[in-house]
Amino acid sequence: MSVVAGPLLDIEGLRVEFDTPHGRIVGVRSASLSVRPGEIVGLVGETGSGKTLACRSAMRLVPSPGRITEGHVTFDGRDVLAMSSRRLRQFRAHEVGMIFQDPFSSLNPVLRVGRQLEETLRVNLGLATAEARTRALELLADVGIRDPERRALSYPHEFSGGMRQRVMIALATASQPRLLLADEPTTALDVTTQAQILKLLTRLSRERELAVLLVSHDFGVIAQVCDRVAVMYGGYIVETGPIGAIYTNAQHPYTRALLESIPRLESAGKKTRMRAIAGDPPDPTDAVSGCVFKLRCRHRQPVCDTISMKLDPVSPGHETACPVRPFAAADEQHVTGAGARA
Amino acid sequence: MSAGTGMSAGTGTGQPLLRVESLSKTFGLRRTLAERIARTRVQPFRAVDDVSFTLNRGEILGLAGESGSGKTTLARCIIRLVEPDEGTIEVDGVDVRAARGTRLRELRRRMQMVFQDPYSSLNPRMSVGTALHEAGRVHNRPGSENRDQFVREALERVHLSASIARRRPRELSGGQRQRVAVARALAVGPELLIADEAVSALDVSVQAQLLNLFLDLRDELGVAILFVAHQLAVLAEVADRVGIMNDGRLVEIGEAATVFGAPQDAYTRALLEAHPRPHLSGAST
Amino acid sequence: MSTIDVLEQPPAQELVETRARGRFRGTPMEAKIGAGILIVLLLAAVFAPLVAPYGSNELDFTHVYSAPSWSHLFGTDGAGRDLFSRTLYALRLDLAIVLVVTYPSLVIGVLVGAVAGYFGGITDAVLARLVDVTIAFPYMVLVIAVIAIVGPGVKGVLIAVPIISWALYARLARSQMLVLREQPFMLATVALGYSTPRALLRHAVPNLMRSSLIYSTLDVVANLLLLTSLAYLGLGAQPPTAELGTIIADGQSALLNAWWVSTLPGLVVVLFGLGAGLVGDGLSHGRMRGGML
Repeated sequence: MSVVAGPLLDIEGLRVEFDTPHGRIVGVRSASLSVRPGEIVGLVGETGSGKTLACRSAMRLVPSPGRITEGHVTFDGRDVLAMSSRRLRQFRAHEVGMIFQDPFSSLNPVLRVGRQLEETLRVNLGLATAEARTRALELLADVGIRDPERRALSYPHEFSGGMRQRVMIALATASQPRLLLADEPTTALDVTTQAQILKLLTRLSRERELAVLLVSHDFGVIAQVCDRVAVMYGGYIVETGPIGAIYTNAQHPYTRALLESIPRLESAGKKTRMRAIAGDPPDPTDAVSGCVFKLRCRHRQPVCDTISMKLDPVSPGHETACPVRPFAAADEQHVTGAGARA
Repeated sequence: MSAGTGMSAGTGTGQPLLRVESLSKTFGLRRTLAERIARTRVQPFRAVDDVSFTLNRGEILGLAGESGSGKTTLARCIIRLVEPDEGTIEVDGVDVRAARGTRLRELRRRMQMVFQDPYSSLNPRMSVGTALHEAGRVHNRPGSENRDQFVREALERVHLSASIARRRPRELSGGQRQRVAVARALAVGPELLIADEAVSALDVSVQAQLLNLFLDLRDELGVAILFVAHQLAVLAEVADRVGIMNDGRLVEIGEAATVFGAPQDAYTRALLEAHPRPHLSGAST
Repeated sequence: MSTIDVLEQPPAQELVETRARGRFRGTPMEAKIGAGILIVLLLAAVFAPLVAPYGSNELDFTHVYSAPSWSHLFGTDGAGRDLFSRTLYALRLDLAIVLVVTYPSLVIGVLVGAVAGYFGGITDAVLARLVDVTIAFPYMVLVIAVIAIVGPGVKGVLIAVPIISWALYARLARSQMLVLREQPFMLATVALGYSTPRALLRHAVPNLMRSSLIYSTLDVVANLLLLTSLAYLGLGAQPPTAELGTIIADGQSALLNAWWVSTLPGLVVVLFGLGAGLVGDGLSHGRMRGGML
């Protein structure tokens, strides 16, 4: 019943709060994003941005004492936040998969890898044992694990980080979900392994029309595989748009500043320095009136004390929460080039 | 700022500050009593394999490698946090491996380390000011008699305000803690800083601040830095020269522009090839 | 002036201030309540001579077994002695013994454990075995044997308990030190060229203290119970010394008629246990002053 052109996952006005003994912490203040089938959307941000919480909300996987207090999460037109626990379990089992940063803790260390795959196939897809076994081997091969018969008999600790991550991808995609949530999947991996895993994710997405929400603090990773990206800061989405537009023509001061502070290989041997943002990412317990980035923004104006963090369009598909728009005029220089450097 | 780092002229001009030759470290060579009783077989593992390089005064040498490449072990061998098995380490011509007691302490004072995790590199029960002052006092640094002044200058060097002195580490952000760790290292007046993945645990925007700080230290204080990192791009931003480690061996070393621009070694090329590159014409709608 | 200086000014300052406020969290409520109870009891014990309306052994045969009233808050016992005063003096004696027996053991135990864990090797092997043997020794047997040798009275407890009690702290401190010594800030003390005593005493031990202090809240109650139980059995403090256990024992025969003689002092013991328990709980849940373990 899915509409091909419309978004598969639609998050609108999400707000996630925690009630702790130390007071109320707002992890996500307002976030709206969508992912279409076959599309890879990136969610980038630093500590306290709320990106992980926003991602987990798509599956209603917010750990208590956290609560989703506002907003809508819609999957293929269905309201995820209103689902009964039975329906939710089915949803999580069949329609959405999730992979995490640390593959070791998501695999049961005392079970052989093949067995864990078989289990999910038997329980979630109802396959008979023999069928499950064959299918498990196929899945392992599909994620690029050579010699799957032998590898299926191994325990997680006998695998390298990259292979464990492949197994986790196999597990998450075993029941053919239509949406994959990837929370920092390559952060703990070496760069060569990371490259392989990113290639695998891209391939799976294209082959199976799999919608992917990729959360990362690494803009380089996002820029390599994502079609669109949402930039989060202090619990808000501050900018969203196609990767090309964001990378070369970011309109929010934070996005620009973030892009400028990313180290680049091309700087080798040059005497230039990165332009660092002063201060630190905000603490979720700090409440700031107006723009959440104003304390660190070079382009701060009086109006910034009173704005809401609403997203406004810049061009089709490209939105920003900054009303000041300091870069709108004279934007010949690409952020990626030498011109942005001090 | 001369009260700070106490740069010595060195015993010979033109001599490298740090010289490492044929350094090796193997783990698992000797089995503990318990292992012998249990008859466990431990595979000896060559963490550092015949590594040689030099580091000049006022230079930033990057040391890149993936996990398990031995770069952290190498860094720890240099200050003898881990005892190397073979090879030579010389600071200004002085043999580090042979040093004992006071001599070793003095050599260590000249090469300070900044660790990766900002959350555990400072004593959680000590205020920043106390930790900084202690470093100065233990080594009788000039100016350490006047606690407030000493602490203030130490914090200024890393661009932190003096009000930080009263705070405990848990009241500081990751970036601030890391700066305090650098300030503590500088407080004893080293000529060499070893940054062991010192920015890897920080947010990107904070990382950039710290990298600029290291560049300042090189330019303003003349401190040499051995910068260990797994991210090549980070080294591209700060390092003058870069060495690439793989499986305990130093496979390539040279000027940063050369190593990154025209790498000789196949492994270096593979690393650069794997580096994420933007693909900006995505299938967007 | 480098780039970073220019950018560092006002914006960063505001953030620094906000952060400091947010991070400074106070002691949790349970610890405060527990501490309150303990402080009251401690003050009552310390100032017993000033607060107690009567002496600890003021006999008054005209008011034998009188119920609690305004003139005798806890009533009187079989010899007409004011129970409230007796309880206060008893608390004084008991708390003094318990503190003397528990906290020096803690200090010695933590030091031994810290040394064993820090140095490893032969030192650790020897000390850890010593700790193991001490813990393995049957505790009550030792206590009773010591009492058999030195005779009944508080001497027995004063000698016997510390002999074993330090070892538990040593074990705790040692296992924590094994973890602690790998922390970067401990490695930093070596890199910074700090002497070993400094690294151990100034850096490691303060971070080990918290668990031992939490454990001591249990230990202190256990020791009080041991003390009062021995006195109750006639092996500890001897009459007419006011001691919680002896008072309770005295009142046993009159339990049906004069319930207050045994019960009220008993409640004081319970109250102490409650206070200590709350403090221990609070310390382990909250973050009193920050710390690693």
